Amino acid sequence: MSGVRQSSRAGPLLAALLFGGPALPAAETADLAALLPAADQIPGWRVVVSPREFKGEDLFDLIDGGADLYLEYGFSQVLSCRYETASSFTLQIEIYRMRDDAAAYGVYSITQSGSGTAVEIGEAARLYDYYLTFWKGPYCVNVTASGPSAAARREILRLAGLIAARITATGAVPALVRRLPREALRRDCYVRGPLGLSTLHLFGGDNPFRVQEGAGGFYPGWRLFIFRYPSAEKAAACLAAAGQALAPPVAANATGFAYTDHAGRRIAARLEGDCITVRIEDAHQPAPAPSSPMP
Amino acid sequence: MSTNSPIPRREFLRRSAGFGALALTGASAVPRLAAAAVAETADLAIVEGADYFSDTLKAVELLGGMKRFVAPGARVGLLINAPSWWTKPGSFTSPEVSLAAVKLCADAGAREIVGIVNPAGGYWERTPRASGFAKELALVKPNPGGWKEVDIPKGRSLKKAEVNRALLDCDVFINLPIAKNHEGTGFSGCLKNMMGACSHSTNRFFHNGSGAGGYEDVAFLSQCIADVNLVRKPDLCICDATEFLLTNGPAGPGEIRRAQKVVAGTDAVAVDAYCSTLVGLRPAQVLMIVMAHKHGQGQIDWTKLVVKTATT
Repeated sequence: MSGVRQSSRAGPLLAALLFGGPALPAAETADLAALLPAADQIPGWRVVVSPREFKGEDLFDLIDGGADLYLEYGFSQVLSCRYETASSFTLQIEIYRMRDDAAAYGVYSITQSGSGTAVEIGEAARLYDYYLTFWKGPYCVNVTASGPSAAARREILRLAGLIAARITATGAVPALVRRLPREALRRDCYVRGPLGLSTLHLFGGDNPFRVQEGAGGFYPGWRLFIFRYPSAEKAAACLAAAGQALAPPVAANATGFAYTDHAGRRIAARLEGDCITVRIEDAHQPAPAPSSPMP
Repeated sequence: MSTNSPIPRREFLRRSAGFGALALTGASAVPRLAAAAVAETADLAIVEGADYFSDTLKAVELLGGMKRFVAPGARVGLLINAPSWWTKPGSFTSPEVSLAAVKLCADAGAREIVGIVNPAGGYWERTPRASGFAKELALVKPNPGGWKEVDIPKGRSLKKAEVNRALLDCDVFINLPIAKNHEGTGFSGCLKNMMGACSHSTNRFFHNGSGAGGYEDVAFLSQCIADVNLVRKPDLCICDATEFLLTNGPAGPGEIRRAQKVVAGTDAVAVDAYCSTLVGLRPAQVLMIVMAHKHGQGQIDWTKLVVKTATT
């Protein structure tokens, strides 16, 4: 497919490329339209929203308040378009090119939930009742139908497979994530800042652990976070600051502290070199009813 | 009119209490009638059912009916959270809910209905019901454009904001958000929807203005949202909690919860406080709700209000 419309504010970048300005790294100038399926692979389909590309902070023009998370991970560009299939439902494609593989994996990992079904597309993929997300190399791709149906899921799978086949890059799960214990691991995630972390766990306060990079693992009855810092000294300082912010700790020393949060979860933080590990035990009490008004 | 109270108190009493009875019983009856009228209407209406159009009609009825808010000849501003960039299921206000609001405004005698944000192209056609309300939808005018910088003297982080003129010019302001998950603030509803009435540069300040760098200053963002809600209090909030993003909001795609509820009230804080529980949060976990409550903008403990529920 061709005819990609650049976001208006991508103009200066294009001009810089054309007229000898500072060149962007090759990784930031991928031809995302080349990843779309060929017309003969989707016969009877109609383009209802032509492919548009957004780069850098112009992502706000595509997903407004949803842009922050991608920017936190490291975002390069996105292509968005929508087709109407021969069966009259629509499929929206978003191909995000992130700054690196870890960012693509991170966005993918943070946006998945247990209700999806793992399918073999790209490095990893999950299919839900009306959408699918997969990651491969520095790409994270959403294919979203206008509503749930068996026919929509079939076409979602087919379309996602076509796109994945056109991505030649491959990627690896970040090393920090691989440090999580594998036994009984239900879900692993990679974060590059507090926004991503807040979707996994709300520690309260203003990013008390000063997280810039971390891995999260979910296990039956508990979860584990590993936060990595530029140095052991920085990790120690962040541990001390978090201990102050998350008072009252029930036990604390230079290498760790523990406390029980408002929901009755026991939380233990420990310094390990340039990392802080935080283990959170699920509270053994009934969850509040969805409509319970106040804490 | 450009105040937050579009119907003068005397006019409200006249309409809500029944004109003849009021005239016959004399002035001394006014407090009793007023009290009776208040007792009969809810502060917060929660209606559940699979027909979202009917849910909306019922929710407003529980609040006392649209005539409580919209006087004949009024110019109504609708802040519908359905701009062109929210395209995925559960990310935008259901057109069934918005259409019901338009119908009620038209029935109440609204002269004109203006979108404070223009809904995405083809928005109304997303509900097959729209074809039956062509006359009502003809009242809906596109946003005329234009921004105005306003001072927010009581703002803590935000002292000025550039807001759409339609927000200030309308006689009646109806906030029509969708309740949904939001990656930054945890929850998006009435309070967050006010960002839709702000210019791009104002909203960028919300995200980056603290100078903290990165995309992490949720406390600053939340305070800005609470502050900008001081610009104009909605006369009515109708929150779509029918089918909404439970994860990966505000854009999606993500898990959808089908609560099939429409929640209405005049207190944006209370509406948000209730709706945040539908998204799996406690109101106290949503900073912007806490901050708006501290501003005195509304009641975070919605159970202290007169709450009426119904099913359709």
